[in-house]
Amino acid sequence: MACAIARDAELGLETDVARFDAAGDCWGSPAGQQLCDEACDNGLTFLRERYSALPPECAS
Amino acid sequence: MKWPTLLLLALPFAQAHQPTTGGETALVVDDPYISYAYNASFVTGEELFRVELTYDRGFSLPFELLVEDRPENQAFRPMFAVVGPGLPTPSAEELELLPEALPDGEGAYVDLNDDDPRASIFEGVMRRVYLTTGPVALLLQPGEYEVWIWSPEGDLGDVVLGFGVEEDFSGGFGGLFADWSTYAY
Repeated sequence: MACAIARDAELGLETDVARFDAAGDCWGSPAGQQLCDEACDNGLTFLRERYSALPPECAS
Repeated sequence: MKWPTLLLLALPFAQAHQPTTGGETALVVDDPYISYAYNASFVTGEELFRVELTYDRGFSLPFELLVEDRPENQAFRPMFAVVGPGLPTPSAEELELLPEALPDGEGAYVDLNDDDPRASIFEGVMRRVYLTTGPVALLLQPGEYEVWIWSPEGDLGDVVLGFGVEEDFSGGFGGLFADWSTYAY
């Protein structure tokens, strides 16, 4: 989330990431939490591997 | 229980859930802000299935491609790509494996479905065990996107593309339950 928000700020974008907020729909159950963890981990890996000049929030 | 369980529980079983063959027709998603499971069948192995999504605002959502975990599917590794604006240029290997050239100025997320071993999950709605690419959350800018699904080796079989999170069943179930035996044990 921090990475997405910081990246939006740098690029002048506004991406709806509400479902991945702490209270978002993606976290509605234990299965959902695991789903969201994996989806977010894989998405963050994709960002790190394929985009340059990411904000520091995306580094860790 | 992993992602597809939640996904399919959360998904509206709309027209997108009807099996699609032939590959000639793209699925145009009317509401790209809710979740779907798109079923397709590779009958010739030459099909290119397309799912069209248009966002009028930036949106984040997960994607995942599933095949049933059966002995005959152990070598069945269909690929998918999310193609559109703001996505990066794929690697040379990915570009070579894409079924079509990318539109000018567009990039892609490409999943080669090459995890070894692939994760196997039980999906509680369809009562099936699936091999999965694993979900990936993408940040999409406003614009038009296509998801391409293809079988690079020409292998045959059924696939399910899951995408999105928020459920909305107001559009009904697309005939899914009238044809339940097609989809579930």
